[in-house]
Amino acid sequence: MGRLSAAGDWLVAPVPRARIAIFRTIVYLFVALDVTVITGWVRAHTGMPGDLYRPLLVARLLHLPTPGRALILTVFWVLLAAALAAATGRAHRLLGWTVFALYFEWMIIAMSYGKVDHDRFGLLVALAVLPTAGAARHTDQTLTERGGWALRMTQFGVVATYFLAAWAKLRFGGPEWLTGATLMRAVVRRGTFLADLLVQVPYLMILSQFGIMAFELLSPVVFVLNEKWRVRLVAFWYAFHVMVFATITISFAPHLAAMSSFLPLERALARVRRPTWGMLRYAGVVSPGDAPEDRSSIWRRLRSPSTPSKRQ
Amino acid sequence: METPATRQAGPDRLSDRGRTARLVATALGLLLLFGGTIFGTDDDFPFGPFRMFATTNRWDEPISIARAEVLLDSGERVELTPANSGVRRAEVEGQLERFKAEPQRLAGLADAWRAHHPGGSSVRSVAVYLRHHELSRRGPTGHYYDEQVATWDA
Repeated sequence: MGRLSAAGDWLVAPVPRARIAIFRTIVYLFVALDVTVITGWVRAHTGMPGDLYRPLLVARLLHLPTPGRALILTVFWVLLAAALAAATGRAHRLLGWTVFALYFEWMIIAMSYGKVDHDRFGLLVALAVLPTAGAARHTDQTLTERGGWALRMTQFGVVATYFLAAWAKLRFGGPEWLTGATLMRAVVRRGTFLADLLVQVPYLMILSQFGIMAFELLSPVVFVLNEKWRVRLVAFWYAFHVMVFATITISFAPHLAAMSSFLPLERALARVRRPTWGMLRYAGVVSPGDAPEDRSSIWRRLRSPSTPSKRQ
Repeated sequence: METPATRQAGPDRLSDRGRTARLVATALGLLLLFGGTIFGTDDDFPFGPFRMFATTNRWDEPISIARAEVLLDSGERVELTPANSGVRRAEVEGQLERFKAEPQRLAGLADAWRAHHPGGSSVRSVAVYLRHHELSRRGPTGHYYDEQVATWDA
């Protein structure tokens, strides 16, 4: 029982509300970008006749209508407006559930014409749990368990995307996935100039296949690392996707947005918000005699000039 | 919900009910996810297997890539793309068997083209091809041949 309770504590390990607020902004702005640019081709499906529509199981269970021009355009505009509004963090439940429902429908339309992508599982999880994460402001450092659970679930979604993809490779490709012309196929399909050069290096593709399988199977390790190494591992994942994009132009963008759930976002924001020395000098609040290392204390003094003891 | 008291009284803790509900939801989600990965298919989205790039090719066989083309009355041949018709190559590949078995389904691709080109030259026929690329260990040899797998006349 004690162990179960400890696992429960870990699943809801509290995080600062500011992290939730920033994560919300990232995720909902990403949704706006996604429907307009990345999966903008869904809107082009307005010209597709109904008989090419192969509704997924979930669409049949929910009796979703065959998408036509009116439905696709309505979902597009309402989703775009709701996502932009949700990015502010206001009405997090109402707007959050609205975005989740509409984005899910957007995805069902996208995946119902013969091709299912799996790069957006983490993002879908994030959209499903963010409405439950509670109100949060971008500067509020109060710890929250409901927010902690939301991030943990998104992290599960991200790691599942790697770990279970390795599983699927073994299930569908078999061990030959490692030694076959797997990446070569991706390069022939959509390789860049860089990829065309790299495939000529003997055994580099096979070596890369072993590397991909290893890192995907090892991805759950991220949960036992301390923060310093966790951030480094996540940086490696981002770098991996940059390389994938540079060679076979597959962006995995929704997954990258969800992956920010691993990062101490509130500290990144605090660092960005702290003014540079040049800004302080320009504002006339420092004199040439002040030392640059006083920047933080000058900033603190500026922020609470009249009530220095209020925070005690 | 968010009273000034909770804001100052340290962490925002979950009630027992809220905590239990979340643990149950976590367990259910994991169950669906592993079930989909082990037994599921693409149809089970979002809980299906993560199968992008999960299949492989042999080195001694060509790599086959599908495309759909419309032949216009003007005599022009155009490959269908998301930009000119909303048709994605992966979608053509995903419905390849269906197009082979029922070529009249290709009429749908002609409709998709027309919707993007109202008043344009009319469609004479639609065809789906596989391009088979020959491989060597150092990449594609540059040799390929096209195979027409389905066709439909308007």
